Amino acid sequence: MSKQNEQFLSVSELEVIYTSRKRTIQAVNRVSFSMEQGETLALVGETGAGKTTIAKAILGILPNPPARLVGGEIWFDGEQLTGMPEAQMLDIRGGKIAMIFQDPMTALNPLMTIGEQIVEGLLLHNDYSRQEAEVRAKEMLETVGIPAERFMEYPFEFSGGMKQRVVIAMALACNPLLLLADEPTTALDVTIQAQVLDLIKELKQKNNTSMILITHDLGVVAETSDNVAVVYAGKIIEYGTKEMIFLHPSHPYTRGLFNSLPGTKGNEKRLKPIAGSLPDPTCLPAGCTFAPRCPLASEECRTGDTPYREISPGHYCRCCLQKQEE
Amino acid sequence: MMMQKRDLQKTSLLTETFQRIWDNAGARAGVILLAVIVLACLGAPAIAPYGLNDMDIQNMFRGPSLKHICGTDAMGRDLFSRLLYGGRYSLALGFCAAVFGASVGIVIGCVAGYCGGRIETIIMRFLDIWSSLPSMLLCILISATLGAGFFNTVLALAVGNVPNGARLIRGQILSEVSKEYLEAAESINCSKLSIMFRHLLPNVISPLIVDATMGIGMTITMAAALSYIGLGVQPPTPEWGAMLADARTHILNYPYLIMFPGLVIALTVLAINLIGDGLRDAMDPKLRK
Amino acid sequence: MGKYICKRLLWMIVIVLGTAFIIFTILYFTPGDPARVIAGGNATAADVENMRHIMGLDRSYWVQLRDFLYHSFLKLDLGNSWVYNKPVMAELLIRLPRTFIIGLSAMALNLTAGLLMGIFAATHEGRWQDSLTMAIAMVFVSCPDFWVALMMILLFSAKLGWLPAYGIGGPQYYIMPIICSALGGIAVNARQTRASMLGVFREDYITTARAKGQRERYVVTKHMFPNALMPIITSIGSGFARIVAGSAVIESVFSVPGIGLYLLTAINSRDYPVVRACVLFFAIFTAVVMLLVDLVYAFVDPRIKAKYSSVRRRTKK
Repeated sequence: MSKQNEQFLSVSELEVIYTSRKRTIQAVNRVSFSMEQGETLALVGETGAGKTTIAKAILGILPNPPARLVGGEIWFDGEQLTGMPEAQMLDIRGGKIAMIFQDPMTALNPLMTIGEQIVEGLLLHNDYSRQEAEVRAKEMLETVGIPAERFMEYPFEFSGGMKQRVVIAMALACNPLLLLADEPTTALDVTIQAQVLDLIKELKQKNNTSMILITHDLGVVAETSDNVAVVYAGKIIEYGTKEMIFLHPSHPYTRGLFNSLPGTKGNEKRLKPIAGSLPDPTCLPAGCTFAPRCPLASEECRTGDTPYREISPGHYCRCCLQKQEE
Repeated sequence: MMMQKRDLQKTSLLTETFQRIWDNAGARAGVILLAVIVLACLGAPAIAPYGLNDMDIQNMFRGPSLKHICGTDAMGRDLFSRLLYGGRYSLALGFCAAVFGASVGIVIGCVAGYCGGRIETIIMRFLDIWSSLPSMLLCILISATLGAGFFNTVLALAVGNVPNGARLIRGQILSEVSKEYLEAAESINCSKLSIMFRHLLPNVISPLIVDATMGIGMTITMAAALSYIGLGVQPPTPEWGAMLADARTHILNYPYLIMFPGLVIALTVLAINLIGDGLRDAMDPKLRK
Repeated sequence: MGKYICKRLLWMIVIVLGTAFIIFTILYFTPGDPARVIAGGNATAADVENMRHIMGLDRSYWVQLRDFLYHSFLKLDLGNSWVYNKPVMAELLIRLPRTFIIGLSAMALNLTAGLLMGIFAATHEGRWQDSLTMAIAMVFVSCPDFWVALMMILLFSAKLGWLPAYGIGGPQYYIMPIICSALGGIAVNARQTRASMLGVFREDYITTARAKGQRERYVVTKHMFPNALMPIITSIGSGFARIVAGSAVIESVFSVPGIGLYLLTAINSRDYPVVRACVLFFAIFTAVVMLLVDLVYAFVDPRIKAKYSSVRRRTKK
């Protein structure tokens, strides 16, 4: 395991809690993973599993009154992000690391022209003059398929899919090294989804941008990612390359996810969902957090500590029932 | 079956609301303060050390002392007792006017919202004209027209409250009217009127309650202001504003005559506003789960 | 855009005419006989009849109404005061500046203090600064403005002798009336601003702005504030109306010879032409303010501007 400050992105033992009224919610529970440059990592899991929180923690934009980063370290491109003074963080945010959000309908300031919103980002991270920034912004618009003449228009004049393109243009305008994409296609129609995904892939390849793609859609994962981390109740329970996860899912939860996909053969009578629902984050069960819903759970699962083991080279799983393969 | 379920929901909503208000420190203080004031005024005959109009000419213009907690006025009447009795007028004025105004507003707003079309447009335009005059001005005019007296003043004060309530209800109704439970009711042949009052109203009433509560505070202030400028309720009725009018000429020599009535008005309105704030927070649907 | 303005102007005229009609009718049916009051206590029945004829009160309702509307709007002649027998319009114009100065200054104070307090409270949400500011606002809004006026006179005129209690003259005469008029509005604005800002806090585009690496200070001023401004603009309009209406009471306390006091004295002495003129003035003023508020809204919010803008833009998509 190479040193943290030599890897492109390294997250280790990340812990984030949310405090609301009198309760403390453990949103992210000692998550560790790392990435190489140019790689696409998919964070997969149900809504509320903690994926967005991880991304926001990397970028340092956790909403501060309720959320707090209470443990762990994040290293990026040789610098430690956790504990970095805000002035330095401002440079990285939007510059080296950019984020696109889930709902394009509300992600843009309704009172500013889209051109102005892109220019704002450009001026923050580059030494451009106003004119240069506008030229570059118009270039970005063309790259995402929006005619440059629409530079002066307001968000309400665009459809959902086009708004998302604007958001992408805004994020990629400063050529970030890492793109955090939080369910970028969830709020869009299926046909537009495909277009937006293609756009992201194309831009990624052009600039060798790394990406963390957060999604709950396995189809999207298959299309775009290199590695996959499955997140459940604030922990990574399985990690591996796309092939490993899709062809050899090991954790009962991962298997359940694949089983619950409706088959295309047409001979299925009912859907096979995973029984139960996410545990209440204010009182997580002892032992394995998935045990209450797991069809294979044993006594050891419910009480013991579930170790995070490498079950085959590069394929990790947090489950008591896994044995070292090969 | 539907009625029962709604009743059940309503009672737990009521208790939940009360619980929320009690939890809120400011609102709790408001409730206690208002309770003290209201009880004191209601129990005036029992609590007041002196009668309402007991004059003690020898002891005119005495400052606050042990014998007279708030002092005496120009005719030797005990200020504290008059404040207690006066509270009944002021509180009653505020409450009646706010409730009356809100009720009329509800009816108008319901009709406008539910009927829609031309009726709604006419009513809304009419309300626009109505509210184009600031409410205080309207109060002054109507009070001058109707003359002094309790019921006339209630009417004058209520008039200002109507357009607000009507608009609020209509806005709420507009957003509810597209919901499906109304279609369901219509499909089983409920009359339009019955739909309006039995199904629609309970769901839109919350913001109106908050508005009406705040309205009581404003109305009490306006009632006092009316009395002060010589309209509305007049001396010798011990309404708080009227007492301030009485004391106006003596402001330089006997400032306590100004301080106490005004202070009581301020405290009452403060209590009501605190409760209104607490009510608003308690009924906020976003905080409800 | 021009079409929108025309529509609103037309509507404004309707409102003013409607108000004129209402006020005339209210006064017409008010109990009491103005002719008798003006003729005096010693007048005989014949004198009163005579006076009634001179004042034109023996004509029918519709004739009087038509006369009133015609003179007021087409000839801009508001008649003569029944008490002083002097033209009302002239007196109105003399008194106008005083009411205006108090009203506009109070409005300006309202806005600045209220906005600042609201932003301050919102950016420190949940902490003591927030609670303190809101507590102050609560106290401001609960105290009756005329009582505060009396207390201020007590303190600053009687005890300290810094400011004059009555009348008009130099700027020092206006200080207390302006502050008293503004207090309630400051509180309302502060609370409204705070609520508005807090509503905007949670919006997604704020997170987007932060994710771009924008400094918090600019997130607040460039992104939060303009969006929070919308509901505040509306409450500015109603704040103005509040101040205008309160002018009657404030001018009464401070004996400022403005339009509010003119109205009050006229009501008490049953000087109907003056009453009608003052009410009309207030109604027109309020309507103009509302129109301006709507226009500001239309200019500031691109969504509304687009609705009324030329069709050219819409066909471009």
